[in-house]
Amino acid sequence: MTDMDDAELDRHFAAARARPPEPDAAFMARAMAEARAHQPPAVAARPPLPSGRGAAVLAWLAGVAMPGGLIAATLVGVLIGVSSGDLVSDQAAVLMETDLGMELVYRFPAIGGFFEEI
Amino acid sequence: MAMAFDATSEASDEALLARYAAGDPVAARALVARLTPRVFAVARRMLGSEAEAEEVSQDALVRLWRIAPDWRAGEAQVSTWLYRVTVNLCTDRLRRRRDMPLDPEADYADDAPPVEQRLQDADRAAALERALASLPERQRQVVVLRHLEGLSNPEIAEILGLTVEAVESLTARGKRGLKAQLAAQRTELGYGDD
Repeated sequence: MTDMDDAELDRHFAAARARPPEPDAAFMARAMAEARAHQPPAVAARPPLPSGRGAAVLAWLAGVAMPGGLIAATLVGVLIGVSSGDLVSDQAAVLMETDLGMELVYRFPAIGGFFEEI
Repeated sequence: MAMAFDATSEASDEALLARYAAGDPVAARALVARLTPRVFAVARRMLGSEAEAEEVSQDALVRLWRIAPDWRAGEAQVSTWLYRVTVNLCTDRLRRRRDMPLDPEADYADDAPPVEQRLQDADRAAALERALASLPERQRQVVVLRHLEGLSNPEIAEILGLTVEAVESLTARGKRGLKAQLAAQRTELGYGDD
């Protein structure tokens, strides 16, 4: 009996690679069903945003008015809270000099008057 | 297995898995079409049994589906992870078999009709499959992954948790074992009677 050489063994590998064991259609169908059964539900898509003037108004409300309103409410609350103290005027002055204070007065001019009064 | 070309053909396994986790049914189909034949082929070659290969493939894939939402991109390749799970599941099966009485008419023998009834290449593939079944477990795993699945030695080392040197050594010993098994059939396999 002669030993087998590498080239002959490679022919066996090539023959086997050319004929990979393949799953049958029924098993592929089961595998697909299993994959879908374990799949998380699709993430719900957001409703489409309005376009045109409506979108512009919404953007202004969401991007400008609402944060501005929140900031104003917060700031007024802080000022009322400290208004009983002796340092109110100093604190108001300091606040007016900050970026936040200037932004607040820019968006809500009436608040500037409040600062001046205290 | 040929897969029809579509938008998912070029996507990486990892990208498809992320889409799968997000609920994309197209990604699910693409992953099943791409990964199931690979997993099945490895399991079938290691176990020699169609039925067991299906069970192992199903088990390995379900583990992938379950881990998909928590998959950490860039940490491991999907294929490497899946091969590792498949090989481990096959190893478990082979070890359980050792505790059971040996069946001389195992599935791989049933699937291999007498050599003279088949074309030469088919004969060689079938003979190789029978010879593979006679190899020690680790040698068989390495030879299948290296010479039939076409993985590199570093990839195999990562999958099996071995050094590259150990993979090389196992491959060499496995090939020697195959040659010894197949040498007895040289004439029947069309290599001449010498």
